[in-house]
Amino acid sequence: MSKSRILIVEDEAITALDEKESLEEMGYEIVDIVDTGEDAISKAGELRPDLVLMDNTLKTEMTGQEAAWQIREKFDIPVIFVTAKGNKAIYDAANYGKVTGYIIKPFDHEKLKETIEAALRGELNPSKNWKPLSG
Amino acid sequence: MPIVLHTCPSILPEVQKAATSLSRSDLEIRALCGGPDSATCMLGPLERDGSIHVLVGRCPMQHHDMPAHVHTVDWATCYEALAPGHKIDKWLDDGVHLLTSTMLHDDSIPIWERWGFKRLEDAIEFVREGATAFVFLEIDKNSTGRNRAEKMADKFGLPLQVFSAEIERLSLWLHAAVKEAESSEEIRRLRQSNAEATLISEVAQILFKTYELKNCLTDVCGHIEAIVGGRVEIEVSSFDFPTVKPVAFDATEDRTLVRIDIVSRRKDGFDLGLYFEDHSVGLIRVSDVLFPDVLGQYVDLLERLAPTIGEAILRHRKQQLSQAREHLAEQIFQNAPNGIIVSDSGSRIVAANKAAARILNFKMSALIGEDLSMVFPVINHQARSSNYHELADQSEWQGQTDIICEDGVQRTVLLALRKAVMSDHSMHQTIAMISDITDQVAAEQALKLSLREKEVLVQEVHHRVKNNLQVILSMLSLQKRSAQTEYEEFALNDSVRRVRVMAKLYERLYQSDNVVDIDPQEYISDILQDVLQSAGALVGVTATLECDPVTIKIKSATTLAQIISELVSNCLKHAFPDGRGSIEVKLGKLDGDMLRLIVQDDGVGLPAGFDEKKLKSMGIKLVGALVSQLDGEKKIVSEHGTRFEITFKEAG
Repeated sequence: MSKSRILIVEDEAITALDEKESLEEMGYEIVDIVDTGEDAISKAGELRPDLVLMDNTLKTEMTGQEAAWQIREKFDIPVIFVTAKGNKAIYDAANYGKVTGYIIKPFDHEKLKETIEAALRGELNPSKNWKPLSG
Repeated sequence: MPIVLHTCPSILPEVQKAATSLSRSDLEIRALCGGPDSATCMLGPLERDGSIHVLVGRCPMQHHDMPAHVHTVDWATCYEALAPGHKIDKWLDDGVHLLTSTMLHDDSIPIWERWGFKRLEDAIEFVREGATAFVFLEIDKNSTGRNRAEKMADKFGLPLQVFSAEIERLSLWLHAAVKEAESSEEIRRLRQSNAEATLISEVAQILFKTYELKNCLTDVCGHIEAIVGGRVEIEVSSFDFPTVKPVAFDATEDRTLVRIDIVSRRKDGFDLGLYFEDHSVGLIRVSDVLFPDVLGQYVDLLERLAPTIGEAILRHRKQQLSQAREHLAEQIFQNAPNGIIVSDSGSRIVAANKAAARILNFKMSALIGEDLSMVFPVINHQARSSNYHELADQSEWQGQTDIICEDGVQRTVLLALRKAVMSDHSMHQTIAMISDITDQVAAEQALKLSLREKEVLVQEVHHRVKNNLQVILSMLSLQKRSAQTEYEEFALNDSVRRVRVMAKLYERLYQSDNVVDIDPQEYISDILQDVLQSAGALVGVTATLECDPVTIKIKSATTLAQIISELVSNCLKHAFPDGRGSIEVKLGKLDGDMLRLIVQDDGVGLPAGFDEKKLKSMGIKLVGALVSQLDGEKKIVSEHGTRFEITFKEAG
């Protein structure tokens, strides 16, 4: 069974590095790390990962939410939000299918793994009845 | 000036005869029937008719009791004139009855009937009791009077003395008496007129000063001037003598407006107290009174003036009050900061104040007469639209609404509608009160925006803190992967756990509207789960939490969470060598603001000879530091495991 391929979108380099090492330890393949929404869309189209791990606040004006929405619309790739903003907007975005799931920073690695696995298994298919996992 | 002579019937014919020689067409002679006493009854109530009244005859009234306009001529003097050289007064005192020739000339009415007796016998009996003689004044020697007098004297059994009356002398005397009466009347009137003028002037002055009744006194002055026939000058003086209790005098039949009382009599005059509605308003000092009986005239004059003065005062006061109220109401109406529009029952604007015109940006003249629905076409209140007329039909309505003013600018106003009933109940009016709250609403919105911005800022700060904590955690995580020893890895794990306790707090704050207090139940539960999870696969260890419903401050919460994290982590490390056991965490409320945290395990307990001070464990050191940060007390009991009790005061 081939490794699941993940694209990391994170503007904090250290966090991105931690995510990369942790996910690689967990057995995933990190296809790339980008720090803007535009790059995320571009790389998602180019590399077609199995999943995108997306921060909300990025280097450029485009937010993670917007990038995630486009990635889902264009490439139908599940997107997991990793954000320090556990606010209603994220919750609504997840509920309305713009993102597949979310994790609140600071996260622990176990929660991160759980959420990624659930998303890859298709258990976090977006629907109005979707219940977010606590971060 | 007409003269009225009042005389005794017994000499009436003589007086009449003598008066003819005076050749005065304005002379009237009246008989005072019933003897001298009747003068009191008849002259007392005489109205002042402009005539000079002269009483000819003996009058029992004292001079000061006699009305001032009646002049008296001594009875004896009168008889002296008729029969010179005879002491008529003495005869009368001795009981001598006077008979005159004229009296006896006509015997159609018997003389005793003229005296008031029906039968001669009664008259004889009455006369004989005190009478000693009859005196006959013979005026006309050709009459049968003397003969009749002799017969009468015979009938009565009394002696008769005869004197010839000299009518010419009586005429001269009457002439002099009338002249004297006219002269003294003139002096009296002049004096009274002056005194009245002074007196009334003083009254007016007092009233004027006391009540500032310049207008009302025009009436009073007119009245006074009509009486005194001269100009009344006003000079003001005022007195007050509260100790004087006035004798009540009803100025009018049913109410007392002005009361006048004599406060004191002086040798040359008197003081009158003037009271209006039970308040002393002044002292009227009347001096230089030559005739004591003038006093009665003053009182009489004032008493007659009292209703006029009182009513004038009252009318003026009411008028002033009414004018003041109207003026005040108009001032309030025009200067009110809120717009006020009054409309009639047909919604037509009948009045509007300056503020209304300003708020609505209408000219005042353009508002009056317009229909109110022009000003308020639709009331938009809480997303409901109502026609103005529907609202105006309610007795009371109030709400916030937006209006488009004449200049096209939208304004937010607080509109209050009140139904008003006219004083005569004839029609209803609607009063619309308008407060322009456009600026307040804008300020309120700006304030809300500012508050929202600050909330966003606080959230952003929390976000940054969380992000930074994530970076720290990531660094620790990266460090852990490079760890060479198990000890190193444990230490980094502990650090991760400690940072996560803080991160959890920020997570809670970020999700909560309350950034001051926190509900510890969920927070501690979260911490417990996190510690258990980070400690690894101790599946045989369970942890329970009991928490009283309390709220604690953020600062205490994070300290408390650190303590729990350290203690539970400690339990997991040392208490359960076989990997099984239970941990109980309790947060209970004690008396006052005291709280107690208990962390108890059923593990192996503390080793023998446990001395906290000698311990090198960082966890226990941290707990000690954190307890002192809470100003709390710590107690460690090793009994069926280990129990930590921490008691602390929750500030606020």
